[in-house]
Amino acid sequence: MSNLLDQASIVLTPTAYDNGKVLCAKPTDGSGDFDFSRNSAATRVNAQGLVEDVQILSSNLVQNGDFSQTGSEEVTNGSFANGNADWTIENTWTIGEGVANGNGANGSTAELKQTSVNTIGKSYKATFKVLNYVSGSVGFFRGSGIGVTPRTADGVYTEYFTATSSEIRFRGSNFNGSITNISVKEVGQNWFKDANWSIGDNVATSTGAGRMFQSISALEGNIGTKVKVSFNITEVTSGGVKVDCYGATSAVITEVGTHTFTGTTTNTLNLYINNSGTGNLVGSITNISVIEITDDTNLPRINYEGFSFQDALGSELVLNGDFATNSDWNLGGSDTPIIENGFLKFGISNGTYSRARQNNASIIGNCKVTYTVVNSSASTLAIREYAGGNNESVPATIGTHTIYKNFIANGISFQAGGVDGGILEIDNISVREVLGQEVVPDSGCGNWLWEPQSTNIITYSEDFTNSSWTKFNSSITNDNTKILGINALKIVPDNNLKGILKRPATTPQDGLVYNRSVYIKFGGERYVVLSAQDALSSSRSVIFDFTNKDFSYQGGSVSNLLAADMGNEIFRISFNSISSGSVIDDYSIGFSSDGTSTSSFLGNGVDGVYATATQVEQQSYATSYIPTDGTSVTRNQDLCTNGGSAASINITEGVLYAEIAALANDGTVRYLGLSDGSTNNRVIILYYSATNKVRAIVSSGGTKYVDVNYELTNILDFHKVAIKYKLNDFAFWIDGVEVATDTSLNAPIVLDDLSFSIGGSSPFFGKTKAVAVWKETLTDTELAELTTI
Amino acid sequence: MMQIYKTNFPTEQQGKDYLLNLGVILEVEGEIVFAKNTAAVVYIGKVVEIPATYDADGNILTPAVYYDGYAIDVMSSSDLDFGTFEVFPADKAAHSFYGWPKEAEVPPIKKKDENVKSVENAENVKIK
Repeated sequence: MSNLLDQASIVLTPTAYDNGKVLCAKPTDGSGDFDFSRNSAATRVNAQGLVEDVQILSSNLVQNGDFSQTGSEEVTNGSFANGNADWTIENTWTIGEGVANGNGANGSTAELKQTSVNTIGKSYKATFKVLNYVSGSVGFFRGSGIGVTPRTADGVYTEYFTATSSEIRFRGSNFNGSITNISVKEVGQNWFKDANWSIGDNVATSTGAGRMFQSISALEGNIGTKVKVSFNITEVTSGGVKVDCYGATSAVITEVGTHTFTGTTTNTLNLYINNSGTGNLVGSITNISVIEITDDTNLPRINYEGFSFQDALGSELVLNGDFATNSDWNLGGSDTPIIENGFLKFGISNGTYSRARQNNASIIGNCKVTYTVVNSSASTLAIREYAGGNNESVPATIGTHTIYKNFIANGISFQAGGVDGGILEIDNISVREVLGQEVVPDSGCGNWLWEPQSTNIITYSEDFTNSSWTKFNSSITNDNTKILGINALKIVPDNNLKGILKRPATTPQDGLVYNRSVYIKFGGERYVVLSAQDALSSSRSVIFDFTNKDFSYQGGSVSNLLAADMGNEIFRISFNSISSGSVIDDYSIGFSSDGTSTSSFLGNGVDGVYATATQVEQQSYATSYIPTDGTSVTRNQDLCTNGGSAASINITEGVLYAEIAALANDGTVRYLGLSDGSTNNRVIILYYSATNKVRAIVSSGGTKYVDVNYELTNILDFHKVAIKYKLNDFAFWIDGVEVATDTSLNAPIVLDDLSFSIGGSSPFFGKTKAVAVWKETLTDTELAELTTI
Repeated sequence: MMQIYKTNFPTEQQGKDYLLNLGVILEVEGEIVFAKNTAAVVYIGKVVEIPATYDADGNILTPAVYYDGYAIDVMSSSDLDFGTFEVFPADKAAHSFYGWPKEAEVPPIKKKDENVKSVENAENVKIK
């Protein structure tokens, strides 16, 4: 295939574009590039599986805007694996067996310290573990004038501090116990802060006047850049936040929540939070984001689909799963295992029982458990829920194993023994809650997306709190949930009432087909009802079942019903109905108690459904999402024309190849191919009125010499299509098969244009993975190779 | 340069006829297509003046009230004269084009002095 493309004169793949241009891979001198116009914004699904406006040019330009970044380990020998090396200790401390032990006495300052750890002025996150606690207290010294927080129980502790010296110190007060796993890592990288700012648990906290700022190189030399700035104020005691992004500024905002503004940069300074005495926040801020956007309205879209999915996992629930220390695991049974050299080791005698368990209240629900068996001569191993839960046999063979288990008790126990002897050594035990499924970034396949003009007549497509949405016995809540990157609100029916959300009155054309679509995410209610008033009946409802991912109907079936599974309990539901001018209230979201009835439902005031991106458009299928905010909104048609040239297209012979998929069987004519700008001379592929058929036409001098078609299983799927043309030698290839030939062909007289239309008419609305043109015919073997899926 | 025109015709058919006469849309082999300089034509239809009201069960109490006429928005790179059919809703527009401000429309003639009788009478002098 690659050798064949090397011979092609024009190759277009979904890779490069500019405003108003679709760029070819070949020829490389730009002579084959296409003109592109839409004259409006549009959305696509990007490589991360998120719906985004193509006018957004950048990812987040702010580094460490959520303050989650941590640096490398600054402490040496924090686990005391090398005894007291690197540590300075007073005589109240002793080091041994991987811990520092306080003897309960009180020294002068009772310090355990290490030098050359911190850089003065930088922010750090310190963690340490207290174990074997008996009495007294121990605390981490964060700097002069800052009180030490006394720790008086076993546990893992975290403290954030801004370094005032290069040392770290622990101070005991009659501390009788042990500490270990001491770690200090830098946080707040990329930010410059006045003294009032400190970095905490994924937030930056201010105590009053003073600024925090960051340099963004992409904005340094580009005054006039349009930016979208957002940030989340998580706490306000007094004052507020004013963001100044290279001159694009917000007001002083004093309310907790996520805030967004757009503006244009006017200087080359910095991104400031509360610059020049503004704001004076006493509170916290996080998730600071700056995204470059453009006013360009002729940006082609590379849309991604066919993603793989992976488990969306919560944080690690097991402590010391790598057995770095002899701690956290309760070891027992008649043949007690040991933790040694970083492994959990079972020595199993026949007829005995041994176990290693953690009583952890967080280990509950559907979890993904992974573990690695590094040495085994045993055949049995089991995982059991602590507190008498279910026992489940799991692999004991060498290798890394994954199981999914629904924990109903609080804890996990690995158990071995009972029926055979041998040894079993385990490492890297991990237990993480399975939150759902998420897109594997960059796992999808990109394609050029050309769509027809379409108008979303829902006037507030995301904001259900707007009065234009009528809330019957229901409320709208916002917990910052996002669906594919779009803010989603939760529709919650009231307790003991039948809740429903209805769209406002609008003006669909009487008797025309409208497609209704919405993105929904499970919010506690299993059955969600999407209703449309329809000319064929007073009301038609689709009842979607989140559990079984299927539908039932009321008021008759609807056409073109689709539920696109986007992973993580997210679906885009779409269906058609025929509008009736006499019934204008034609869109609502409600609930069902049993999946068949829409009348018996009663809410509980808590559960509901997340929804966003509501869309009603005069189409027979759902097009890409068109956001609205107060008006109906039109996305214009995509028009890609004027590719190729006389130099790259041969009139006497050649091959036209395309890997394409239609958006719908809507009966319209959609051209793709070579021509002279008219229908007089053309080598074209088209979709047309016949369902699931693709067609090839060759005309020369105004005479149509070949007009053949072939029925596909589904034109919505991608197919590889090629036309070979030469005097008295025509062939039509689809998916590796020659489906038509003709030996009476006259080659076109003029061919100098490769377009997704003919002369701008009947544009090709569809998806394209590749288009290529050869100036010579290919052999049957080559055509078969080229078009085989 | 693309310009957005907002129009309101007595009927849908009158609107379509006007667009055909103006060359905004063309009839080719029995099909209506955009002219070369036309980026979009949006048949908005009736515009709601007063939304419908409902009872507690979601039944319509009073139906919506619509403005007179049939609204059509046009995006074109041509200078077009819609005469008295052109309207200027500005930020009260019922429709917009994605990526454009909702008031992004060809503005009405500015009143330079009192000699300009009305916006409607000065339609042929547009400020771009």
